[in-house]
Amino acid sequence: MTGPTAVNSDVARPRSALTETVRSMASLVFALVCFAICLRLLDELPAAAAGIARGVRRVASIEALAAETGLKLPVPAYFPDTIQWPPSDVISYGGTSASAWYRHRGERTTWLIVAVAAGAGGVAPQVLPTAQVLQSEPITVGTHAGVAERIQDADGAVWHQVSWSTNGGARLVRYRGTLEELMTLAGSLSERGR
Amino acid sequence: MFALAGLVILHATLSALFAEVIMRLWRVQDPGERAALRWVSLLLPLIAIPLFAWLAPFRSSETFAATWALFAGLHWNQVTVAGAGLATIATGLLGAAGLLLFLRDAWPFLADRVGRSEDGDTIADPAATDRIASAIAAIRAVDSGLPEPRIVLLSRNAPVLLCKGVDRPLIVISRGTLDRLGPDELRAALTHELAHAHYRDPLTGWLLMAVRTSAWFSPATQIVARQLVQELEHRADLAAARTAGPEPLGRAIAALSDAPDADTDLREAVGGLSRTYRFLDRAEREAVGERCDRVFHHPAPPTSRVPRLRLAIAVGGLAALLFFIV
Repeated sequence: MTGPTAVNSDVARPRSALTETVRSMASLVFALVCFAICLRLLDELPAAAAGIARGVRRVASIEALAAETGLKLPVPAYFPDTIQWPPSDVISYGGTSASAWYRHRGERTTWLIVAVAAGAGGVAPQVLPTAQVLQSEPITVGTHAGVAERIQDADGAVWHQVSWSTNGGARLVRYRGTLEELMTLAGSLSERGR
Repeated sequence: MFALAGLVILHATLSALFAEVIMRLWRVQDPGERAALRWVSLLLPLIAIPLFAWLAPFRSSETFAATWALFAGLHWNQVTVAGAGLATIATGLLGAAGLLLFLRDAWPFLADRVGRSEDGDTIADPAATDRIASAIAAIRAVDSGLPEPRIVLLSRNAPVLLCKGVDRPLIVISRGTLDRLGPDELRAALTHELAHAHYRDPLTGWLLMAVRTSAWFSPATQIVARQLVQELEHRADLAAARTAGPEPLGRAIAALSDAPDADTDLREAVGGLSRTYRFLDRAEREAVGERCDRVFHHPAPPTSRVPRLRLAIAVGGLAALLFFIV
């Protein structure tokens, strides 16, 4: 015997090296998959508790959003008296999409959503409430080609929405009022944001 | 800095869990292999975070956290308590727990190795020295791979038996230890200490303390480091049981554990119990019994045919997992 490293354990080696390697790899993959599933489920919990989609982050204000992510959420120059300022929620997803949610003064429910995205991907659906498109047609907003849609939210309320691409990004305005008012709102959005 | 500390705590906790799961799935019983896996779970979080930041800086983006990450600590800050995010609160609480665990062990460690000197306590006792020398000669006749240590003999009546020396092994033994142990028990106890010297465990102790100091705020790091020490003790127990037999080792552990003022790693119980919990006398006795049982019932735990390959795939798997945790 040449030191304690010479382990007297030949009796306990029932498997071949290949079998042991394969079994070890298989159980490692099993463990990794289990860990991945558990971690992903855990990661869903805070969003579920906060009532937002996974990866969505609430931001204190439009200014805070610009400071933290560089995203500038434009504020319409035409701002109906019925809409309450400041926005009730400013949320961001992945640092590339964000939206501001505004409430109606009288009804205390969300009536206006202004969203912006950086890059070519368009506004991430995570920053908008789920809705079903009822009708869609092409339009122009200023000099930009876009799409106007009539949509229905999860509560059955009908909204209007316009979205268009800008240089290096996309914008979207969703409004619960008339299409004419929505077009005025969209047309009044400053290119640089305010 | 606070977010970075939170990430280290998260990675260290998951690494510790991963190592524990892998050891169970692979049925790793050899203390050397277990210690290697625990080293991986200790070091990988500390290495991976700066390495990933350098190789894949996009991991720190919100886009990665929202799309590719399996788990993002930042997401837990969406749930707030009294205005503070849960991730921030958890980092603060766990950091405080980590500091307490670190101080609990770091202070006695440093006091034992730096502050204490046996100079005034050493004696020259030819009879005792001959007894120790003949025991070591008998051990080395059976196992020539064990080193020949320097011996320091202390006059005190309390049992002391320790292995020291980062470069050259040094066994510190007291008259109280010699009085309590018969020839076979002394041989078993000394083999245990020589095994520590053979594996350079005193150096490992310093390295462990360095790792613990660098992640003083991480409870998982502190706990895994303690578990690793238990693996080293078990490895030395097995070496002693092979050379001197499990029964004398068990008797030596029992004899030294009975003394309330004993200063020896042979008194360290399994399962993380320490002197802090000495008031749980019964629990400590049970834990010492468990330590002896392990040696009696599993004197030669099975070893892997491909330990290095298994270690490599464990490192790869854990690194892959940690990559997606931000």
